[in-house]
Amino acid sequence: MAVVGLGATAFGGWFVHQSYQRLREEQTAAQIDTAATAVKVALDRVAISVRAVQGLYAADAVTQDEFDRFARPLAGTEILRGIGFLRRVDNAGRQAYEGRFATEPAHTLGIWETRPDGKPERAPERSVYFVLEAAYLPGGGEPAYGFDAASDPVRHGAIERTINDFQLVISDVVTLQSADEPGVVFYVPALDRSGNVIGVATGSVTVEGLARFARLTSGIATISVTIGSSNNPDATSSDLTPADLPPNEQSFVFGGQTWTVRVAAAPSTATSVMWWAVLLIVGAGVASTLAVIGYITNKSKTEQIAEARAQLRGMLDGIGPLAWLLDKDGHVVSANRAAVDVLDLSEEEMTDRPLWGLPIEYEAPEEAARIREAVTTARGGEDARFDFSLEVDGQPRVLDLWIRPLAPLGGQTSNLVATAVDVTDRHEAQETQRLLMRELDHRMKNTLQVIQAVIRRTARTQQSIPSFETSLLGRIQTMSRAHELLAGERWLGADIDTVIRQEAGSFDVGGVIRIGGPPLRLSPKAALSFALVMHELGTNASKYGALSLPTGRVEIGWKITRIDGEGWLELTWQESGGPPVKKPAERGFGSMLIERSIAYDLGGDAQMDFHADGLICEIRAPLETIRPFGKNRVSPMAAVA
Amino acid sequence: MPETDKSTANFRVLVLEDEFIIADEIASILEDAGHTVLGPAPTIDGAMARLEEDAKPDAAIIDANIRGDSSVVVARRLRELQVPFCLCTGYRSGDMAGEFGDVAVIQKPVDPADLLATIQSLAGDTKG
Repeated sequence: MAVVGLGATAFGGWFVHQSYQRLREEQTAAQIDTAATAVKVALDRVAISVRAVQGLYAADAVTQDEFDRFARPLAGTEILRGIGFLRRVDNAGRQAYEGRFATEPAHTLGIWETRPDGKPERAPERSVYFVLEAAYLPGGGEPAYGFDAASDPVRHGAIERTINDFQLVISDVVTLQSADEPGVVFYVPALDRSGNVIGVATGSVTVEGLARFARLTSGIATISVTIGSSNNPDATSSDLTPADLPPNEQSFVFGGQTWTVRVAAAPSTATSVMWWAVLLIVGAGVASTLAVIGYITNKSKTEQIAEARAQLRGMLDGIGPLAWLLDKDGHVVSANRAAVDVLDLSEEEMTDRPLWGLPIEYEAPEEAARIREAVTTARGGEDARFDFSLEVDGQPRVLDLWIRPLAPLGGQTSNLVATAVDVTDRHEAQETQRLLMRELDHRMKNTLQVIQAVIRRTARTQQSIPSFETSLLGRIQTMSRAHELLAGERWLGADIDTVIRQEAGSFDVGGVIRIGGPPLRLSPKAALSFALVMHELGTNASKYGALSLPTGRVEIGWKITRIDGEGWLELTWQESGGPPVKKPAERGFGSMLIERSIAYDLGGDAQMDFHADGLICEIRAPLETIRPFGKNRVSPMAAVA
Repeated sequence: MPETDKSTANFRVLVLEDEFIIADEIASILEDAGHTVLGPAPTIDGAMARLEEDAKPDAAIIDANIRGDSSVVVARRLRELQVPFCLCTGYRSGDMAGEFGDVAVIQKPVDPADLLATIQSLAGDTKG
């Protein structure tokens, strides 16, 4: 009896500890995915900023003031240490170029570099210099204007690679001039309108800053990040498949560097709570066993044994996991209270039935067969364990089921013990988080692509720096406002009224825009399309239309109509009271965006009517394509794989 | 931006992409390099119609996820027609396991040089 009691107790403690170990592993796996994505998002954000600088220089020559104004909103993130432009200067052009510097040490030294003791000195003659010409440091401080990045072999190597490969290159770890801290520098080549390399756009971050940003965005406090140390320098893109990495590490390649992300193995609060549970069970078990031994040595009486059993039973009923005692064929002898509660069955309804034949709704018929198989395995002397799904009151539940043989005193298996932990919430949380991070990652990539396209388009059509700047920033801000709105709704959709008001409202200086229509939910994609279209219409009206005069008015209204049995949204933007309208001779990127994106993205159409009294833009789109899907849609090929 | 790829081959490329700005960008990269763009098609039905009506393209670029649906039917049809294609996606690699695990993947944001090189190797293989 003592052996059985202590054995069962030890088993209980061991069981809880094992469950906890497994929980820890699963948590770690979910966390490392989240952490790696958070680091990728941080890297993407820096890359966007650097690419925007690349776009700026593609448009025209830029002064330091213009650069500052451009860079300030880009750099308004937690991550960037500095952002700037390095001018490619060849030796023949050195003297003419050096005259431009008004600040020290470049004013006196010309193009300079750092001596081993940290003091600046005039750079020796080189065939080509990469000189810091414009820079913005979000954290304050004076940029090292005139510094020749080619003087540092690490930086120089990365700059040459970015120009030769024509893609984003991230340097090895260097000491950042602006921070006196280890960090890395991002480089992309900058070209003028005719395609000549005029220098490189650059942005710097500290390694710790990246990790900090990832911690902030993911909520995982133990993220650390290292660069390099990979034995796979030839990898060019995407995730490595690290067979030999520990479960709390993940590596991927970005910007030609291998990044390794690490999280601590488990949260400490959970540990102590779990150990308390183990101690409690072991303690209670030892106490009950001693009590039983006490009774037995005092000469056993039927009531005393019954009382001892009641104590053990009370303990079993007190624990959270579901537990059954089975005979060796898998028929239920008894079930604890958790089993009764979770399955919503009385103990009588379960008794004498095989565990795979309980009157419950299995998610799939195979589940019952798996339980039966597990019973066979356990009867053969081995543990069987798996997650199985069922429905209780129409709600799906997931149980982590464990069946073990019980062989008292090392003899034959006399009984089986089945225990199960309800892991439904954990499954759901993991699934939701995985979907959300995946979706976020996907959106981020799409947004990057859109920004890259907008930068190229805007750079092609705008003639001067200020107008390039305004157009580009306006568009990027529109997207970022729409993203913010959607993020607040967990990317499930947004109300049309909110989208229109937010975007059109940003142009409504004098309170002259009237907005109204019935409520309607838009999908994230439709919300972005409408925000961009509103932005282009608003920009156009402020420059040439009704919003350019104090007397002007704009009316934005929408309604739902039925055409051939299908629901359509009809939205009208109507200007009045502005200057006389002339049809523009040439179509800009803006009007192309208005007319074609609605047709292309939403299967609708948009018509701009340059009416003498004011522009009228009529937009129609089928409800089927603009309404949210309702649920998070899982993607592409994975679904068929 | 300079065109680093100096090859003179002119391919007919089907583009399936549901976001206008991106479709327009991909089309302009291809057209600047001298290729002919079929589409770009914003929907799976649109791409399928192009495949039935037009002469067979030399290559195709398809977004893996069109308006929330998998574009796998287009991928299968391209395979039947023996049109080489690549997937263009914002999802990290690793999600494309299974049936189309061996298909080239272009990650968004698209690098113009990468895009052109991929088209060259896809269409070049079959043409010459």
